[in-house]
Parts: sequence; structure tokens; C-alpha cells
Amino acid sequence: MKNFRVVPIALFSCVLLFAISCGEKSIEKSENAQSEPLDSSKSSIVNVSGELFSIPSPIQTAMLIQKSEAEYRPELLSKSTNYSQFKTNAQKAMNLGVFGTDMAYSSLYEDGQKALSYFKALDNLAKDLGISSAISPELIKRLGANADNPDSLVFLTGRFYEEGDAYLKKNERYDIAGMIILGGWIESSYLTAQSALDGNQAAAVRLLNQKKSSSTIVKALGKTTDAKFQKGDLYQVIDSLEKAYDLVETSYAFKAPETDASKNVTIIRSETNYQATDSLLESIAALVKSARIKITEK
Amino acid sequence: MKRLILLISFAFAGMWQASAQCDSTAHYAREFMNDNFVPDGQSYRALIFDEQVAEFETTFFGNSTYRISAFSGMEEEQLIFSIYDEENNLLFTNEKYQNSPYWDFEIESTLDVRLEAKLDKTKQSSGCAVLLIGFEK
Repeated sequence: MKNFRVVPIALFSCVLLFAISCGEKSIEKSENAQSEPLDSSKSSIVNVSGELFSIPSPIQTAMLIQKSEAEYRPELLSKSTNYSQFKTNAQKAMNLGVFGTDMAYSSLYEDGQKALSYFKALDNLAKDLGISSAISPELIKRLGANADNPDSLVFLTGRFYEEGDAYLKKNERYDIAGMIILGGWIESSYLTAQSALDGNQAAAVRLLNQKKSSSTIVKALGKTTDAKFQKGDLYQVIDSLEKAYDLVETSYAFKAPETDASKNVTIIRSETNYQATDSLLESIAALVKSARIKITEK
Repeated sequence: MKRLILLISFAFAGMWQASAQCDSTAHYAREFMNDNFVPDGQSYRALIFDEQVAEFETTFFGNSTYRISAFSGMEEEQLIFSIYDEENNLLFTNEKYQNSPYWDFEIESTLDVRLEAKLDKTKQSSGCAVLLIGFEK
């Protein structure tokens, strides 16, 4: 997960250093280069496809489960007391993603006590990873104070992760940023899969909707500098998960969107259908569970 | 040696300045995400120049409303962002609406999209572009 940004800031500084050290010659070259017409096939698009990644929010998925009136399943959640057992930064980062998802899920079901326990574990892992200093103390305080207020907590959790993500990318700790996202994605997929296996149709559809995310995750993990992680069991499971998702059939039908400029809103009416057999859905659920065990049980 | 130290100092100063600009830009972008929209937890940032386009793919879930906030530099309406579907149909571009710094999207059915962002060359030739995605509670 090396390159999340188009032009990493360190690269920018290297270019700057190179430009300065080359003195007048480089300025001359630069002027010549500017006078040349741009080759649109090469230079108009910065090749960030597969480098700037986006995974839908695990909090949004937790909200879908709660809104679908699925039963609260606290026994499925991770153990917040386990946070001290995670030794490597990768483990800590992945479980930071897991705990945030569980915090949102338990709060949505108004289990404030459990949500608070995840907040404490989250806070500890963030400190261990050196992220806490980037999160405003006011935000941390509000998170702790709103464990039993789901409306506020989901917003604050989203802000917490966004500030942490920005800090990690600014400091080029892309691996850690990616591991946090991976942990959150697997945990929300696990909760969704369990609900789907219970017969929740909305959860089954949402699980299949993650097809694109699975390929994005694998693409991102392929760029990690953590060689040990790439050779590990978890990576193999995630890779198998993407292969299983490849078997999910999709069909897309474009429909013209409608825009109401007075309200700054566009309605997107295009439709995608996802189809999978029950056994494929079960395979996906089993792989998600396997990945989740590897992340949370150490 | 002094020259090398000076050069390294310049490089770090440049890095700090670019980084600080991204932070300020992100701060402005956040102002368009009100409390009804939960941040997706990621910060999409890119330093772009001239004709360059930053792009990434994501999934918008059905029966959801998203807000995208797009900002570059320190002033509004300098960043153009566009959304394409998997068949490369243009679904939206803020270029048609004075480069509006935010827009809401009501999604009826889940779909995979590609987001592109580029600078409005008439206003800015280089800068830090920040996109934020939030979903309605």
C-alpha cells in the first residue's frame, strides 16, 4: 500500500531538491519541457488507478444491519480486552479498524457500555500506533462521552478515522492506513455475513455488493512493503476471498441521472444486479470468517 | 556541505509547505460536511499539476445519499470533480455548476463508480486536491 496519493509529498520534495541542485540547467530543461506539447495519452492522467484506494465505510454497513432490524448479536463482536495482546503494528492497526466497527455496531444497538469498552481499546491502540497526537483532544473527549448516543457516535467515529487516515498518509505510513481499513472492512463484512446466514436478505445483498471492495483491498495489499504480511496466511485468505467474489455475477444498466441544481443534488438511477448461489454466499462468508479469526485472535 | 544542508532544508521546507497546504485544504473541505453526513473515514488527497487528473474507484450503496466535498487550495470552486460509471458514462461533473465545492448524490441502486478530480486551470495551476465522501445518517 505504498502510494495512496497522486504525487506523494516526499516525492514532491525530492523533485524540488533535484531541481535546486541542478541549478540553471534544470530550469532550462524545464522550460523546454513546458514548451513541448503534452502527450495526452501519457501525461493527462496521473496513473493512480490502483494507487488511490477507496473502501466504503464499515460504519455504513453496520448501520445497514441495524436498520434491517437484524437482531443484536454481541457474541459475534471482538474482545476489546484483547488489545494488549497485539504485538505488531500491523495487528494493532487491523484491530483498530475492527474495534471502531464494533464500537459503532454496539452503539447503534444502544449498548453504550460495550461501545465505551471499544472506545477505550481504540484509544489505547491509537496511542500505541502514534496516531493519537493527530486526533484533536476535543474529538477524543466527545467520542468517549457519546458512547451511548449512536447518532453522535457514528459521526465522531467517521471523523476519528478520517483524521487518523490523513495523518498516516501525510507521514507516508500507507501500510498502517491500509491495515486499519482492512480490519474495518473484514469486521463489517463478518457481521454482514453472519446476518446474511441468519436469513437477512438485505445483509446478503450488501455482502455481494462488496465485490469491488474485495478487488480494491487485494490491489492495495499487493503494494504493501510488509513482506511478512504478503507471505502470511491472512493475505492468502484475502486473495481467495477475491477469487470467490469473482464468481459473483453482475449486470449493470445505465439510466440517465437527474439533477436538481437548486438543491445541489443528483439522483443516480442506474441499476446493478448481483447474483450468487447460496453455496457461493456461504463460501464468501466462510472466507470472511477465516480472515477475521486471523486478525482478531492472537 | 553548507550548500547541501541548505538544499535539504529547502526540500524539507517544500515538503512541510505542501503538507501544511493539504491540511488547510482538508479543513476547508470538512466545512461542507455537516453533521448529517458521516465521513467515510478516508482522506483522499493528491498534489496535482496542470493537466493531471487524480482518480479512484469506489462503490456507492443503493438507498443511500452521499455528499462529496471537493476542495483545492484555499478558495472555493477551484477543483473540478466528475463521476463516471463502470461503462464510462459521465454521471455528474461539478464543472457544469460553477465547480460547486460540494454535491449530494441520491443512489437508488448500488453501483461502482470512478471519481476524477482536476484543477480548474483558469484558477490554479497546481495544488493539493482534497476529496471527502460522507454518507447521510
